[in-house]
Amino acid sequence: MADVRRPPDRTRKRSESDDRGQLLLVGALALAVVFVALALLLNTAIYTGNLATRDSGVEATPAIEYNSAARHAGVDAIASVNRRNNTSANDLNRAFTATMGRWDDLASHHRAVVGDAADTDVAGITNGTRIQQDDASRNLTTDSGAPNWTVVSGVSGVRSMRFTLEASALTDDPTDLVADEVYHVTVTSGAGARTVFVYDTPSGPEIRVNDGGTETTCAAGSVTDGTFVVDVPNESVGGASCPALGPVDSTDGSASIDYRDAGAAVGTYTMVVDEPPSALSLSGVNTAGSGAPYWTYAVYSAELDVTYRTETLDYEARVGVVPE
Amino acid sequence: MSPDDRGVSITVNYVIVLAITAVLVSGLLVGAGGYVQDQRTIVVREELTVVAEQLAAGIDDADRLSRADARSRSVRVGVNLPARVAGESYRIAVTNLSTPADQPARHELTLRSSGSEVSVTLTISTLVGLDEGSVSGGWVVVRLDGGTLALSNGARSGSLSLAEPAVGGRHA
Repeated sequence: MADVRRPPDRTRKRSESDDRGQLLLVGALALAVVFVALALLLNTAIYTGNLATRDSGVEATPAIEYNSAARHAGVDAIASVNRRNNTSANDLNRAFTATMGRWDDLASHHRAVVGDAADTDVAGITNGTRIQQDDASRNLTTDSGAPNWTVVSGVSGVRSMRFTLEASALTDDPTDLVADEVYHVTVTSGAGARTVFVYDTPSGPEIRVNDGGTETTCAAGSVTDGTFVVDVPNESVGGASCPALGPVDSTDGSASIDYRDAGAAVGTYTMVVDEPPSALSLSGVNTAGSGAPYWTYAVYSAELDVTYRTETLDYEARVGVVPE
Repeated sequence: MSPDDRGVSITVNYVIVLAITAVLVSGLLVGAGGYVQDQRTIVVREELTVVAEQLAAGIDDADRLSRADARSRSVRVGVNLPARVAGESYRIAVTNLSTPADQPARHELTLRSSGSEVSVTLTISTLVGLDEGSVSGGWVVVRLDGGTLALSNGARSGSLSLAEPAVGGRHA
């Protein structure tokens, strides 16, 4: 059989078979580099998969919730201090800032647990006046009994307008709302004149809202103990929805509120306007505790500075708080 | 076979083996190199897509916060994006698309890697406007100043801070 290998040649330094190995070695090394590159890419791909499933780290939700919670706290605080501390505007403001300060302390502790910094400060308070009548057996005339009167004028905002009226005292089944002396309240401002007539029909009390000539009638949902509630901010009459009431307290510019034929309605009412008592004439309304109707100091609205900070978020907002 | 041919046979054998080996190895190298390049492009594209989605999430958060009911606000949202994808730096460009008046504004986020020139485009829509511009990858801050959102780069510390925290002096 023929030899397949060249006999060893001692005169040469290296045999060709060694050179063959060199080529393979270089090739193997180059391939190894390629595989390492591939492994690195695989690593990047795995990292990408990890990144894709990772939380992005930004959390708008707690900040928005905190903002909303601060607003609710502000609304509750205004309602609370108006009920308890209405002897003077200063008392109200002090009580409101103290209440919000306490809420802020509790809330920031609560947020600190998850590592977020939150802060709420009172940036401003709009002092207002509440005008109300508590005597449910009295008609809605002035303190001296005049049926056609201006409750308040020269204000730019009114909120929380609610009437609790006795159904039996209202004008029965009128044919002409004005001629038949139906009790009505008119809110006049730059946005137009909106009038709410309240009367009784055989099928139950009704209101008619006249918004710049457009008339809408709403029947009271239910009459409890002979009374029903006309709730303007809630847009309801006796619990039944009445969307036509929506624009009544949406004023623009200087507004005035007038009662007409107020002898034709008996019950209680309350409203808050955005001017302090000193800026209003308030003729026809007594000071608190000296008869009905009367006025008290009230906080109309407030502004809060809300700050929320996390590792990846810095949020500051000025929030207006106006209870309904 | 004469004894003289033996050496020829060995040489031929050697050359053929060498040639086959060279062809095989270079074929493997070329093939594997191309494969690696393809994989690299795919990986970069995938990662840029993920990065674009993360940035979109940050912009959405800023958009939500900018719409949350308030009289005035300022918002900084930091998004911690990787500075490099598969070893390449990349750039993020925002372009606005024309939108009908009653629709939310639409924007295109285009991410382009510097080396392999891979480009990924993501269309997002926001209710608050988003300024056109471009930033490089890494720590990106979505700012609301005035009426519109804008992207910016910056150091991780300091780029978020709006101002010194107000001292709660009004607390009674």
